[in-house]
Formats: sequence, structure tokens, C-alpha cells
Amino acid sequence: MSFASSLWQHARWGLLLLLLLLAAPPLVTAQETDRQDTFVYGINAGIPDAVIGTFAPPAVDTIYLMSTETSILSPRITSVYYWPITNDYRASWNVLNEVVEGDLEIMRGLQTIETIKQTTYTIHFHVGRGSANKPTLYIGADAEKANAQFQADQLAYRNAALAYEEARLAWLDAAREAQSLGVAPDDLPKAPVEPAPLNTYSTGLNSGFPLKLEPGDYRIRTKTADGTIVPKSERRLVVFEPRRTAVGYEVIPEQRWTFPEESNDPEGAILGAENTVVYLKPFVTREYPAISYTRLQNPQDASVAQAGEWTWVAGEPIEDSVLELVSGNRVITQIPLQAYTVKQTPGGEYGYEILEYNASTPDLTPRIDFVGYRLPFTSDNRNFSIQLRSPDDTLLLGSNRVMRVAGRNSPILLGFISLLPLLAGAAILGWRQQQTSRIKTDNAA
Amino acid sequence: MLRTEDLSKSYDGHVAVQGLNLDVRAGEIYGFLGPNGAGKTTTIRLLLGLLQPTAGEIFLFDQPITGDAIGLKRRIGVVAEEPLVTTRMTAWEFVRFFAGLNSVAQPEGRMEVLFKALGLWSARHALAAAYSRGMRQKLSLVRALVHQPDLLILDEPVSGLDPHSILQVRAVIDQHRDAGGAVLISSHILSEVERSADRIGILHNGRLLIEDSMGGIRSRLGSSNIVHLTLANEAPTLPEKLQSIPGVQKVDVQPRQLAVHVAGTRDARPDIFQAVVVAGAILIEMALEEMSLEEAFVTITNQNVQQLAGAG
Amino acid sequence: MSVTRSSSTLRWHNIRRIATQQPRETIFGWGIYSVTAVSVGIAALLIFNSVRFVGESSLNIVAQPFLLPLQTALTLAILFVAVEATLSIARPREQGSLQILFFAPIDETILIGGNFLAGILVYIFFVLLILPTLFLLSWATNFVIPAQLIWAIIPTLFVVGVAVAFGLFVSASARSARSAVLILVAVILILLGLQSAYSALLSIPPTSRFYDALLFIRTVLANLQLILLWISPFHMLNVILTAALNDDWLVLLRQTGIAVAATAVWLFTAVRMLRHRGVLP
Repeated sequence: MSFASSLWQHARWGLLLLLLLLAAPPLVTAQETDRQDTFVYGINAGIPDAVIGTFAPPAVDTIYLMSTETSILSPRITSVYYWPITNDYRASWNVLNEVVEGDLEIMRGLQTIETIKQTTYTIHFHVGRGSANKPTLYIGADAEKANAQFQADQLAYRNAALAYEEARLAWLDAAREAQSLGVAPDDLPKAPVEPAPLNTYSTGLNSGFPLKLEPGDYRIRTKTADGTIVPKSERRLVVFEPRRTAVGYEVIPEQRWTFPEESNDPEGAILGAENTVVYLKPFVTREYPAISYTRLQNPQDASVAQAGEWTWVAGEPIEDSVLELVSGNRVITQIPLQAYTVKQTPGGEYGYEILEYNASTPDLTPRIDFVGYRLPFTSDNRNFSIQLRSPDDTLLLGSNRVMRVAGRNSPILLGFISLLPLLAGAAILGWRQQQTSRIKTDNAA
Repeated sequence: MLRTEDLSKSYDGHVAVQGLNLDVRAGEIYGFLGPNGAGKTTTIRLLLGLLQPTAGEIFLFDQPITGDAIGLKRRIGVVAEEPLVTTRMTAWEFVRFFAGLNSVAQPEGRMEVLFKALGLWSARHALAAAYSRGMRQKLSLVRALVHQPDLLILDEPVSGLDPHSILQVRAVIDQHRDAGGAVLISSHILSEVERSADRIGILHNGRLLIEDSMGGIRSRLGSSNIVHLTLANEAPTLPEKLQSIPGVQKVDVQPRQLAVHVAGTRDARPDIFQAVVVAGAILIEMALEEMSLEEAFVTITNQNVQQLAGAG
Repeated sequence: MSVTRSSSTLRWHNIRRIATQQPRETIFGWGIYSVTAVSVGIAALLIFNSVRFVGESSLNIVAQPFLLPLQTALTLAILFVAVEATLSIARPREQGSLQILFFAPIDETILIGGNFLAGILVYIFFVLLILPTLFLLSWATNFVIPAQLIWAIIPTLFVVGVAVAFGLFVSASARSARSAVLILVAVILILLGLQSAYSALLSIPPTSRFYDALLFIRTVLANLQLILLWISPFHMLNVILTAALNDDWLVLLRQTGIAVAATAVWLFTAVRMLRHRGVLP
């Protein structure tokens, strides 16, 4: 028997065992398709400009949260079922949503480092532009106060809306009557003013564990008042922070403003075609471990995320700085932030025109479509960089970008460059041939 | 310089070398003979550590080769049977590379001497792979000698060489021996070994059948010399007188020509001359024909075959 | 004439001798220049594509315009040195010329060590051939090559080490040069095939009637891939380049450590296999 066949004889059983072991996890999870009432953690994971709502069924061993934001874990008993089409567990909150009383123990290794009491909380989501729409998390007394305020505001708005509706109907009747009497339009009764919409939405009062921990690897569990650990409440908790915080840019090409692109990495370059214009919208961007950020959004994400992979996440916009163009080490110009209006122009080159917004010309620029910095790529300045300077005259870290006007597209030149290694080879082998001689024997010589 | 003790090698049930006891000394050329498949190449591979022996020990310069094999290899030069040179180096670079491996400082002088001695000087900057087989053979000898080894192992060193090259190679080998080096020549060109070897070992079926000088081999074989006589006249009593000389085994008689077979290595020519004179014959020529290595080789290997057949 | 050296000094001396001789064999052949030309050709094609994209859409934001071209070129370089390493023992052994090298003060460790360093040197030569052409491409397209990308090439030497060591292991183990190359090709095909098969399975939508039926295979492939990611030089190259570019020293150190460990394991097994198989045809 050859060595190879002997090796195969031994290896094939090992291979079979390995295949079975590798297949073990799906065999187990694939069976759990029945609906069951079980312990879960409801998660409101705070990220810089939002709160992400998700949950961790018993199959999820690890929960990921950010260290920079406060998040809420809510211990609940709910009805969980496996949904094979999307290959994940889902919760029927409307069927069962029972609060589990108890405290959250946070452990590092075997040592409990903190015990967190369950408290009330509420999250208010706001409608607005830019940083104004960042949700607000209220905890404890603040939550109750905010919730009371929200309910009062809601009630006030409802009353105002009802009053407005009544006034509007009365005004319509009055207007119709005046019109039938031939009253001149200018003398018609004034329409009632619509109340300002309520731009806040609330999750209502809930209870949970507010968490804002240092980055690290923890274990958590929920403990009832009598000291028993709630079954299935033990999990791993990974708290992470951004590795780098920088300034990202949303880059809007003038030629196709509906297809903006993002430049998050300060090491990256923005390459533009000669004689074109782009508009830059800066924002705060943060770089997170890809696996942590993905599973913060969906703890059940089973994709093969790789350690060492990072992802940039766009955050709040920056709207108070000045963009500087730098050539060499010299600032050659400063560009202020400007509001723009996109005006449709049938028959035009792009079908639209981007105009500077001017409040005094409402016919020409009726609204603000976006705000940004206008930056032309010209043949005069093919290599330059940009940076942002804040109102307090400091450069924003990570705001620098290399800007390049792309060179001519010359396939012949690129093809010639590809041949250079062969030319180098020909030169070296030619030199070598000169070094070596043809065979001459001493006798012949 | 080189000694083996009960060296054996067998693989796949086949015994290639069995109980081999070799002894190659400084300042001698040792002819290592054997028919194809006798185990010569296996023995050389064992000596170089390319194969591991099944039993027995090898001593190079009185040290077992299981110890500092790397250090020992620096004192050996080897020419393989097949002078393969698969490289893009020139002959000069090739030898310099091996000189470097043997830690020879400034080998150029030595290389020049060897290249010139073997007639390769004009072709030293040609690609070694482009050399003819004979030139590669000589280049292998340059490679083997560049670091001035104490022991030179040559496997068929002159096969494929033209007569002029054979003389060049022979001179270089003799020079090495004269300088106190030892040479082990494995060859099937018996005349070449007979001409140069100080001692000879004959290997057959993996066993060393005999190891001695050429004279010693003749003596130990009990072989007969033949004295050829050419006469000017007929001498009817001469065969009888020759037969009575001690050691004469038989006399072949032809008109005016006799062949006297003398046992052993004793020189019987004075006695024969005296018998010729007494018998009244007129001697035109008397020539001694000794047993050649070829005959000894055939005799020894045949005996061995018969012994083996008898034993079987 | 002979310089007296201790055994360990002599070993190191001869490892260096082989390490400097073997690359000469490569440099004086057309193979390396052909593969380099192909590498630069692919790099030029990718850059050409980026320039075209800028021309058509007026904008291209790339983290590193030369990262993918460089990575492609280095991948081909690694393949080249891996193939060279795969042939470095099996071919001369098959021809019978390997034993001639062993007439000199050489043993298995010296040969493997020398060929290993030779592979690294060939890779460095390959990189030195590529770099000027990349700078020319940068000049022609006005695309920037950051200094960091050039520095990132240095830790890739550890990845090459894994590929060369594996090639030497295959070379030491194989019966012939042909079977050595076939084994290497098979391993590469398995690596690529696994990746492609997994990607193909991932692309099957959950609504497909085959989705659940293929769950088992998908999970097996995913787990196998996780294992292979630790040993695949191509994955290591990706991780090391990215980590070096991002100043991610922790990942860089960890991956370098893994590469060094993998290299040591392959080299050790290569020496063992060479001892087992011998140097004779």
C-alpha cells in the first residue's frame, strides 16, 4: 500500500467526522421552528445619530453595544418563532410582551463589576434636518417627565388640531356665504392658522437597563429579587468604540446630482474629471469593527464577518466650517458653505441646473435642496487637497482629502507601461548573453 | 580515510549491499569494481549519506558519518556517473558556486589550474548546460576537486571521454593521489582501473569478494601465468622437460610454438630458458602473459556465482 | 584555501549561498518577466478602468486607487514564487541533479532554508520590477500612490513566506515535478472553488426553493472557509495590506504571527518530507 493511499485510509474517517462537526450548528438551529414563549433582551442600541431597535433571542449568544452612547436592554418574555425564509428568529411583541423583574449583573471574568437596576425610559424621535433629528433617550425621572410633557404636547396638539378643524369649517362656511353675497376676495374672512405639527414621536414609557460601559468584553445576566438567575438571560456583551473618527464627505457630481458618493476614509482620494464640478457635504464619520457594527444592528447576522475588517459609518452633518483648498502646504482658497437649489430645465444638458439659493429670488430658487461646498476640478490645479476649518480656527481631524484631476485615458501608454517588464527582461538577458561565451575547446583554440 | 564496517543495505526485500568492509587509505587509488547491479552505486550513495544503511557503520577520516556530516562532506569530492548540469550558470560560475559551498576563499587560482589541466579554460564562460557530455564530465571533476578534498569518489570518471580527455583526467587523478589524497574509482572500464588503481575491491551481488592489489589478487586467485615460447627449430623433448619444472601445470604444444602454464605468481622464466637450452631448441622469443584484471574479474565473479549455485 | 567554519556558521553560509544562487536562475530566464508583464498589464487594466470611470461619471472615490492593482500584482507574484518553490526540489530530484548538490556540504535543512530565502528574494525582485511601472502608471493617470501603500508591501514578505514554505513542502513530498505542480494547482483550485461556491450559495435568495435544501452545504462551506482563511496566503495578503494601510498594528502583528507560525510549520514538514523522500530520483 502506498503512503498516499494509507494516508487517505486514515484521513477519510477524520474528514467525515470533520464534515459532521461542521454541519452540527445548522442541524440544531434548523429544528427550532416552533413558536415558544421565552426570555429575550429587547435592545435599543444607541449609535451617534440614531437608536437601533432589535432583540436577542436565546440563540444569540453575544450582544454588541457602543461605548460612546447609552443603550437600553429590556428583559422580556415574548413569543419567539423561527422564520426559515429569512433564516432568523422573530418576536411577536403584540402577542406577548411581559416585563421580567430583576437586576442586570455585569461581569468581567467571574467577577461582578456592576449591578444595574431596571428603570423606566422613553425615546423621542424628532423630525428635522441635520442634527435636529437625533433621537433623545430619557431615563428614570427624566423619562417620566419627558413622557408627561410629550403626552401634554400631544394633547395640546390634538386640541389645537380639533380647534383648527372647527375654525376651518366655520371659516369655509363664512367664506362660502360671503362669496354668495358677492363680497370682494380681499374682504373675505381670514383663514385660521394651522397649528404647528408635532415633530416628535415617542416610544412611550418602558422599562429596561440603561447601559454605557467602557469598551470591553463582558458577561451579563438578569437576577431576580430572590437571587435566582433568569433562565436564558446569560449572554456575552461586547462593548466597542470607534477606532477612528474623521470627516466624511458626501460628494455630489454636478453632472448627476442624484447619484452622490461618499468619501469616508481620510486616506482615500477623490478623483475628478477635468472641467467638472462637485459639491461636498461634510459629516462626522466613525470607523467601527465591521463584525461588531453589523451585529449591533442585527445580533442574528450569521455572515462570515472577518476580524480585522472595519467599516465607516456616517454620522451627524457638519455645517459650521469652511472648506480650504490646499496646494503644497499653502491654503490657496477658502470656500464657504452654501445652500443650493436644483432647478429642472427641460432640454438642458443635464436636465437640471444647480443654482445658489437666494431667499430674495423665490421664483428662481424656491427652496433649499442641499447645502455644501462647491469645488471645481480644473486643468490649472490638477493636484491639491482639501481640509475643513472650524469656526474656532482649528483644522478638523481627518478632514483632509487628496483631490486629483484624472489624467488622459491613453490605452497605448498603459499598454506600453505593461511591456516595460519584458523590456527590462530583454535588457538583462541581453547583458547576460554578452557575459557568456560560445563554447570553444582548448584544443580547438 | 574511508572505512566501512559490515555495511549493509536492503530495500523492498532486495539486498543491495551486504556486510561490506571497505578500507581506502591516503595516497592510494582504490578501484571499486563490480558488474551492473553489484551494488557499487548504492555503496557510494551510502558513503555520501544519500541513503541510510540498514546495518553497519561508515567512517570518514575516522569519524562516523552520523556525526558532523556537513563538516565531513567538505573533505570529499564526488563525480557522479551522470554529469548532470541543469543550471543557467556558466561553467566558471558553476564551479565557483560549489567552491563557495565548500567555503573556499579565493578559488580562482585553483579553478584556473583545474580548468586548464582538463582543457576547459577556453570554454569557462560558456553556459555549463550547453557543454557536451564529455565536457560536463570533466567539469564535474573540476567541481569535485576545487576545494582540494582529501577523498575523491569517482563514479565512472572516464566513460564517454575521448582518449585525449582520458589522459587529462588520469593525470589530474594521479596528481591528487600523489599529493596524498585518496581516490575511490568505481568503474566498469577494467583496463582503466587496472592501469591506475593501487588496490582493487570487487563487489558482486552486494558482497565484497576480494580486496587487494592487482598482484595480490593474482596470487590469491592462484592464477597461472602463461609463458609463450617461439622456437626456430623443433625440439621433441622440450615439452617433457618443461612439464618437469615445479609449478608448471600444462604445456600447450604447437609446431615451434609452446605455451607454458605456470601456477601462482612465481617467475618461472629462468627455469624455462634453461630447459629450452638443454632440449637444444633455438629460442626466438619468450613472452610472459600475466592474468588481466578482466580475467580475474570474470574468474572471481564466476566462482562466486558457482559457489552461490552450489550453496543453493 | 578552505576557510574553517563551525557547523552552524557553515550551514548559514550555505543557506545564503543557495539563496543568492537560486534567484539568478530565475532572473536569467524569461518566466519572471512574462509574469511581471501580465501583472502590470492587469494593474494597468484596473487603473485604466478607473480612469474610464472618472471620464464617464466625472467622479471616482477610491480609498486607494492602486490598492487593488497592487494586490493583484502581488497575488500573481506570490503564485509565481509558489510555483517556483514547488518545482525547486521536485524537478532537480526527478532529473537527478539534486544529489549533485548534496555532494557539497548541504543537508535537507540547508536546502529548504536556502530555497525559502531564494523565494523571498525572487519576490523582492518581482516587486522591484513592478514598482517603477506602478509609479509610471501613477504619473500617467495622476492617481496617487500613497507612501503607506509602498510600506505596506514590506509585511507581505511574511505572506510570501507561507506560500514559498508550502510550495517547498509540496515539492519535497511529491513524486515528480508534474505531480508537485498538480498538487499546487489542486490546492489553489480548492481555495478558489470554496470561495466561489460559498459566494454562489450566498447569492441564492431566501425565497428560492433550494435555499433550505442548500443550508447544510452552505454552513459546511462557511465553516471550512473560516478555517482556510487562517491558512490561505491570499487571504493573509488581503488582511495584511489592509491592516498596514489602516495602521491597524494589532491585526498586522496577529496576522504576521500567524504567517510566521504557518511558515515554520510548512518548513519543518518540508524538511521532514525531504528526509523521508530523499534526494534521489
